[in-house]
Amino acid sequence: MIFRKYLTLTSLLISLFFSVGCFESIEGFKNEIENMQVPRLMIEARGIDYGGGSGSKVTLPISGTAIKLERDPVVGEYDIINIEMVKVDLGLALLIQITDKGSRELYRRSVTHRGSRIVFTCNGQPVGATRLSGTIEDGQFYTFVEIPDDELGQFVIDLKASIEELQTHYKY
Amino acid sequence: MEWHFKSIARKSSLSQLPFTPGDRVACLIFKDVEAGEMGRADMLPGEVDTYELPGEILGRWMRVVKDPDDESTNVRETVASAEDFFLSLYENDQVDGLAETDALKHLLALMLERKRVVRALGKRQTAGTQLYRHVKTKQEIEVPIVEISTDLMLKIQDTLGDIIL
Repeated sequence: MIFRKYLTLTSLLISLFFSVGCFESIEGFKNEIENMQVPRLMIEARGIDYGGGSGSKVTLPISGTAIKLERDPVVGEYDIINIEMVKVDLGLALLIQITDKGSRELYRRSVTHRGSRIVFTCNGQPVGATRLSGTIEDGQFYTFVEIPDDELGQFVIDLKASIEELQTHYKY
Repeated sequence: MEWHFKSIARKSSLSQLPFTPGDRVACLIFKDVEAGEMGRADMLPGEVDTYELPGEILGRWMRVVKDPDDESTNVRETVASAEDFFLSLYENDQVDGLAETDALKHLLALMLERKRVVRALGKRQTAGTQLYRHVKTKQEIEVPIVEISTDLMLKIQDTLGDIIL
């Protein structure tokens, strides 16, 4: 009888120990990325929506420019492999580096949608837009973003951490 | 040569009879030699044989007239029209090599690649020519890669909008 009591108590303690361990690891996993940023490249919908593929209208945070976007991204979060902050003549910009698959789609769109705008979004919110003025063949996309310069550094750090996380833990 | 298409027609280029929703319409793209322009003519399929094109035909496709109040679109029909037009650009050997035809081949191939109607073969080219396979027929097609300016793209979009994917 006493033995059974001890056995029950021991199994309860073991369960508690593992539960605490699991919760700690889940919590730890959650805390790996404090400010997850899911980046995507979206494209402006054409004037006449013959294909029925246009989604919602978005507004850029500083300029207030409203752009109607297609529903699906041109380059999704799994096809963005790196983002760097770069300094160009007009100021700070982002260089977005893309996988081969994403590069091909961006190339196709840079031909078939020339004149349309590519909108860079994070967590579904637009942060920058660039008009397609030539073909993009090398999978490197440059864009200005509507984020103050003093916040841009942290934004890029968050983006890099998020991309690493997406490429490792979430990639299927 | 100028691109000078008419906007999407609401009536037949031959009989001038208005199209009604549900009508099947043949769309012809031609090179108007006298005017030095590219042209488009829309008409009922039964009228095609009697219509005298003012130049040689470059390509054609069929479309179904939609109800202007009906906003729903049929992507499959649009893809089928674009596919028809793309393949028809290769039917007339005489016009091969025209800059305008080459631009359309390149543009349509990229659009149809996205819809998996054609598949790029070998290394992805960004200059010269790219070989594609038409998935349904297994036919291999050589597509010239040409620069399409923003102005030209806007003109194409305005006038061939009903088959732009």
